[in-house]
Amino acid sequence: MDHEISEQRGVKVMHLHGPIDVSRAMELRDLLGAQIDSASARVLVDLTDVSLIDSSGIGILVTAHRRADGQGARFGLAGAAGTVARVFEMTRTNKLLSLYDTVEEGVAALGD
Amino acid sequence: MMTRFRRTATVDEDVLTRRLLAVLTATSEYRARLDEALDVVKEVAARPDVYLYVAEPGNRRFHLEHTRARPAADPSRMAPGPMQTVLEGGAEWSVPTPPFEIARIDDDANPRVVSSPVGQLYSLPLAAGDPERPGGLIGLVRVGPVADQEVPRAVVRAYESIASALTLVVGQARREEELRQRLASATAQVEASRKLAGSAVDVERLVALLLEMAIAGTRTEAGFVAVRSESGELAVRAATGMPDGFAESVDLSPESGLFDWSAAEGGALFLRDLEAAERLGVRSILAVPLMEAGEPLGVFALVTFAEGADFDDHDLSLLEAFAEQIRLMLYNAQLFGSFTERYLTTVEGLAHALDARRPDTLGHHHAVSAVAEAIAREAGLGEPEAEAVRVAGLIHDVGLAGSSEGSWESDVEHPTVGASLVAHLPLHPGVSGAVATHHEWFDGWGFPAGMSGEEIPPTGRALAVAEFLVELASPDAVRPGWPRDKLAAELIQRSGSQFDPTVADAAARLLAKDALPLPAVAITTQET
Repeated sequence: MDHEISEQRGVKVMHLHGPIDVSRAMELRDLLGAQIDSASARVLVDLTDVSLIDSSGIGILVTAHRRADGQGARFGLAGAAGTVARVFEMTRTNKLLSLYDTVEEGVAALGD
Repeated sequence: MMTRFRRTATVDEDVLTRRLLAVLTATSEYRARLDEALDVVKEVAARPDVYLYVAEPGNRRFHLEHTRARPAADPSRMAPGPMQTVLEGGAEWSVPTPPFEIARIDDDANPRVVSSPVGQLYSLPLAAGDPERPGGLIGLVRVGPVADQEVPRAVVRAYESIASALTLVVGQARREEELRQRLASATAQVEASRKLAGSAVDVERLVALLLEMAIAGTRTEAGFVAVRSESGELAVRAATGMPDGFAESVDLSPESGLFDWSAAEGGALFLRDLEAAERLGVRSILAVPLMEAGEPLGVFALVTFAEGADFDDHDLSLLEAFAEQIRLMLYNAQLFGSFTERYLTTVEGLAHALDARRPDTLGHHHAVSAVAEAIAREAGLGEPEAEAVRVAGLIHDVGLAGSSEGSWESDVEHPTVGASLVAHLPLHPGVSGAVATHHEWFDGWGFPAGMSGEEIPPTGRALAVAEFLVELASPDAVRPGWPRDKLAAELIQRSGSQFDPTVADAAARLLAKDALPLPAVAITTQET
């Protein structure tokens, strides 16, 4: 899926585009798996330009969150708004994940 | 005299289009949406009265759906046609009446001028796609009054620039209104069925109805509702548009199934088995948890298979509304189900206590229940009726409680009293029906109502035979229990008078096979 990865203060920021549905969730799983590879990993997914996320996309994000937790790494999400934010609330996964309003806030929270 | 309205010099169509599209988010109230939309048409045509007609099923006629006209008190609102009395501002006014129904003609697909009882009007098509095709012309807006013989080009151009947005707004507002009405009707049905029958079958039927409405409203392709059992397992209770065999084969187990979902995590729900979703050909799936007081009740999921069929904000609002209705329905069914179960247990306990008052009646209700159920099945009653007979058997004489034993009144009224103890419960109507009629005779000579033939519910006819057989098969203080052959002979003799012949025959067949769980009796009469 369309994405760019940048690094800000030791945090890898993965900027995603478009919808995250079943077909793209597979790819997202591989992308995140490659980034969350050690205890020192700091990964922030920027959802600002994600138009929609479904239960499969959320599943991948929760799995990534658990994987990071298990490894002692840090993982967070930033910029969820509108429809995307509502899906997190409706599926009650907003309490499970580390959600930040902006990339800046996310980087500040995850960075060293 | 007709008041002349001056057409505005310039109409900014972009602004009007944006105003139209904002109608859907500004309010969810149907009539307010139409008011706003028709106000835009007024501006485009620079006329004061607008009438919205919508196509009826079959597309042969239009009916007047909404009017946005000058106030009734406006003296300029005069026209040659018939007048209608309306109540407005606390007063009655006579105003001209537009036709409530008009037949569709081919010219409706184009802007034109029409004469009507409210004067001459521009008639403008509301077209979703090709107006010549079935379903293409969803309605008409008629705006006026006008003096022109044809619609001016400037008005046609201005209207064309907003027509798509107007059609979208009117179509969407009507779809949502229809859904709202169907939802209200389904909710009323839930309430009614809870009071009348309240069976699990009804709940599943209504859940399926809500699911179909949600799919139609969100324009998704498929969906399902899974309900959690007491052991925590999810099972599909309704599915629409899912692949064949989905309900039976999908793994919804908490440990390894399609969803990850646990109360311990606040009911957070998300897809776990991505590969399973892919195998099903799912493009997008949105599943929300149905929670009550922090406890998971079930899952409501909408599914798309086609590329580009994504959920939008509007879909999420509808999904939330339907999820709430389904949650309420499941919760009510669960709550009322457990209440009914507890109450029935109490009534059964009372019946059992009655049996225990005399050694020869000990176990009477349980025996009648088992025999009645067997007879009901043999007589061809359906599963819900057979189950109703079983339940009725467990409580059929409970009306004797509280009466002085052996009194004439208690004997005659106990079926009515017993039925009244359970009539208010959401059970199959055959339960209270059987209790109330188990002493009625097929020929009308029974009690308490003297009902006859088919007037007596089938459950009552089955229960009557069962009680008769159990009573005579059980020994009492003055006589031994009757053997099978004697019971069969007596049964046949009373067939058509006391008993429904079909039920008596069924019982006789079971007796002959020794397939009735009667109290232990001799097989044949012992000569003494």
